[in-house]
This record gives sequence, C-alpha cells and structure tokens, in this order.
Amino acid sequence: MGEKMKNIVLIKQVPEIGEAKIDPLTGTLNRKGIPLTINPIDLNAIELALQIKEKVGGTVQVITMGPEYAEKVLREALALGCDEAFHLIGNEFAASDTYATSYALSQAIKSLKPWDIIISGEKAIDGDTGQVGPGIASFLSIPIISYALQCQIIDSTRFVIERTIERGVQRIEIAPPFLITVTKGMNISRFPTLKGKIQARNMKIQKMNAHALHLSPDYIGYHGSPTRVIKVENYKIERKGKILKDIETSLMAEAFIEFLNEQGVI
Amino acid sequence: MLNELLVIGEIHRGKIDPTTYEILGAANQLRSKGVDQVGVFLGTGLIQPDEIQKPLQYGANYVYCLENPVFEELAFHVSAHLIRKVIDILKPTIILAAATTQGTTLMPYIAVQLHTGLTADCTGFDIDPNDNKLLQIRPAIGGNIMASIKTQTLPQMATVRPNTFHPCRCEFPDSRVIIEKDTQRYETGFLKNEIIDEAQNLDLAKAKIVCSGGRGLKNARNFDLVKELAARLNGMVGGSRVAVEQGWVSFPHQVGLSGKTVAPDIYIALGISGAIQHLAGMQTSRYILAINRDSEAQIFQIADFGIVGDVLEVVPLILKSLKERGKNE
Repeated sequence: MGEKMKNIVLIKQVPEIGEAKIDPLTGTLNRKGIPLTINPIDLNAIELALQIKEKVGGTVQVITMGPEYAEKVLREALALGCDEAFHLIGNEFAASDTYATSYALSQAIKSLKPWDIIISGEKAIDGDTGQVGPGIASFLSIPIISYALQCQIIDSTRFVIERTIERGVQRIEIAPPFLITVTKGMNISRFPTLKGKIQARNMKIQKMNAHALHLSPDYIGYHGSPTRVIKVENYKIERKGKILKDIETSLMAEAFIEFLNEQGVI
Repeated sequence: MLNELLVIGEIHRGKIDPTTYEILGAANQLRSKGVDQVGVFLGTGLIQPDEIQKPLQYGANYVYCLENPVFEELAFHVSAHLIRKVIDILKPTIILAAATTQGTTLMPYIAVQLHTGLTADCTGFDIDPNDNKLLQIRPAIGGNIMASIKTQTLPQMATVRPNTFHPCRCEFPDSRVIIEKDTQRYETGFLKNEIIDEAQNLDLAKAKIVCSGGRGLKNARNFDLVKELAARLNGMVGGSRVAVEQGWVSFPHQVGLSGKTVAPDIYIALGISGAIQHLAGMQTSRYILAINRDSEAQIFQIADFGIVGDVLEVVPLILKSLKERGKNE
C-alpha cells in the first residue's frame, strides 16, 4: 500500500457527571451552565488513533458536533496529538436525536474523504445510547466493529480486533474502511504535554455547517429527529422494606443475617 | 391502526437467547392495548428444528426464520441488510431487540437504513390510546427521571434492557413457523473471524446472589469486604460505576445502565447510594438488601431490608458472625 492512513475520531462534549439536568419543556438535556468535559471513553478512542499513527504513520482528524463551547474538547484532542480538528456547528443541529446526529456526522465524514478508519467511544455518558457509532457506519455503508476491547495493529491494511460479547470474545481481522467503537478497557489514555497544549492553542479549528455540507433540513436537529421525548417523570419505585437505624451495630448485623436466613440463603 | 410487532430474536450456538422470550413477555403485555400480531425473526445458520418452534410457546403468533451461514459471523453490516429485507416483507409497525452487544449494534444499523428512530435500552412500554403509538420508556440521566419517547416515523424501533421483563408461557391458535433458506453467499469483508466462547464464570446476569460495593467502601482494600461477603454467600461481586472508575473492581462487574443488568434472588448493595443509573441495573432483583450511612440514600427506597450504618463497621460484624455460624454447623 504505502499510502498514508487518515483516521477520524468522533468525540463529544458531555456534562460533568452528576451535574446534568433535564429541561422539563423539551425533555432533552439542558447543558447551560454545566461544566463540560470530553466524554471519558472518547479519550480511549483518541489514544487508539494516536497509537495507529505512531505505528504506521498518517494523520488523525478529530470531529465533534455541538455548540460554540464544544471547541474546548477539540482543543483537548489537538493537545493530545491529533492533527486536525473539525467542528460541526449551527443552531439547526440543536436537540438532534441519534438518527439526526448520525446523519449529520456521517455527511461531515463523507466530505473529508478519503479516510480509512472511523473511531469512536462505545457510548457517551450523557445520552448513554451507543447508537451513533453504528448509525454512522450504516450511513457510510461500512462494517461496524463495536465494543472493541483490543486492537492489534499489524500494518495499515490489517487490524486484529477483539470485541467483547456476552458469551466471550469475537476476534476479527479486518482491513479499512471500518468504524470501530472502543470500550474503556482498551488502553490507558495519555495526558497532554505542555508543548502539545501550547501548540493546540494556536491550531486552527475548521468549522463545518449544515449549509456547506448540503444537509437536508428534514434530517437534522429537532425537526429531523424521528424520536421525541414526550414526557419526563420523576421516577420512584418503592419497596416497603424494613430499615434499621440507631440501634447497636451488632444487632443490625444479626438482623441482616436473619433476613438472609429467612430467604434460605444461609 | 393496530400494531404489528416484530422481535428480532437472538441465537447463540443454535439456541435462542432468553432475552428473546423476555421481549415476547413485554410484547404480550401490550396485546390488550393495541398490539395485534407478535412475530419473532430468527436469522441463523445453525438451529435445531424444535428450537425454532419455541417462541410459539411464549406468545408469538409466528416465527420467521431466515437461514444463512452469514448470521453466525456476527457481521452486523451484512445481517442488517438481510433483516431489512425481511422487514420490508413483514412490515411491522414496532421492532424490538435486546439491548445486548448484538442488539445495540444491529438495531441502529437497521434503523438508519429504514430512516426511522430508535430508542435505546428501554425498561418499559405502553401504547398511547390516542394515536396507538408505542411509548418507549427509559431511565434518563440527570436524577430520578424516566423519559417516555415516541417515534414519529414507522417502524417504531427500540432495544430492550435484558433481565427487565418476564417471559410468559402462552400459545395462540393458528401460530405458525415460516422457514426461508437463503443459499446465497455473502461477503463479510472479514479476513479472519473467530468467536471464542468463554466459560460463563462471570455471568453476573445469571447470578442468584450479587453482592455489590460502591463509594462507601472508600478504597480498594476495603472493597475486599464486598468480595469476602460475596464468597461467603456463594454469590458474585458487583460494583457501582464509582467502584469501577476507582479501579476497585473491573468493568465486567459493573452493575447499572452502563454496565450489566442483574436480577438475582438476593442483591446486596454495600455503600451504594442508589443513583438511578445503578437502580436501572438491579431494581428487578427479588430481594434487595442495603447498607449505607446516609438514611436518605435512595437505595433504601427500593430495599427490602436496610441498615443505616457504616459498611466498614457493619460488614466485618456480619462476616464474623457468618464465620461463627459456619463453625457451629
């Protein structure tokens, strides 16, 4: 081959765990005023891309979709060693569901052709669906290798990927193009160097918008999302259990054992 | 318009996965509300004839079995195309599959091809009597929230949390099996592909007793208390997201929305406050026991038995007492 690889990492800005609130009107996540960070597993996706680059050469491009402040996570990715950053931005993308997000990102990726491997985290901690990676693979008509736990880089045309499945492991050898979603256990992500941080500050972030990509308004944003959150409810399941407190610890421990005994466990 | 529901069944080594029957259980609860036909799709290269009949005993009106070896390859970009063709024939208005590694990969791939929406990881369903649309209910981040989601387009697709619904035995008259043999050879593009079955020694989902630890354990050494109690009760070890992120226990042990869903006879939550993401992974357990310092902790709302106290004090006493009992027997 000898061709230089070009791999693309999909990243997402997510609210810090525990800070997220649901907007009662739209039923979607309200991100205003909440500290944002890069989705943790996306760091493992970036790490894989950088390891591939180190082993076989080529470049790493990183892309996100989100409002102005999402630029922050792109800078983080550049500081880690990614070569180019693309920011899909515009109000018309607001409140996209997984279908609309997959569509927009897949069209952005198409505009960056040619490329070899698309890498993403297995799921984002906010939406928690894991649907966007496979959705993009479908729009691009390429194989999807999800839940990847290991990726052995033989050369730029051969990758041996182990994915975790309920009954064990699937080991696939595959040549690009494909989309891989990585799990947390795949690698330990690196920290940015000071030099990397300084460089990232001055690097250009390339903006992409719906108009330039000729995206159909019927497929993007709230309007283009086939799913609608129609109701959010406080969620309460109660079991009228026996709760012990303010008595001697040893008595509580005995009562615990007695409960297990009643259920025939011991 | 009545809904026709199709379950995308899951088969491992020629046997139908229990999740398929669980989804049939969920589907049958919707019959009185406007779901008419319930079918099961089985894509397989390897299945026993009597296995194909089984969904009929769990409330399916029909089984549509498409035989082709490529289904054994777990090459979802290929199976998605084959399943999509079957969907075009059957025209279901609702399609459900398990939120397993297979279902969560295959379903988004299919949904995009059908240009329709998909809701992830549902724990409840209902039908809106006004428009006969499927209400897809799932826990959402941001506190104690359940979101009801509707799909504007057809078919309405969702993945279903394993271990959430119960299979029910029921049979319908005129139930039938359709078998189609597809002899075409499909290229997966995989240069090599092997599936290695591992001993199910870490199948938390099937454990009878799960003993889980969380933030209250404070460090890896204290987490040994959880492991010790699990071992003493012949149970398996689980952990909250915090415990896994801190490295006290590995990811395959994580219970909750981003880990495993479990439904053991006994679930013991030690030092776990009970964030909704955790509750989503264990709330269908038969008995829930909890120990936590904070009497306001949410875990107590779903506990059958709770102790307000420090796990680091209570658990050693429980272990000591269990040891003594062991000696006396």
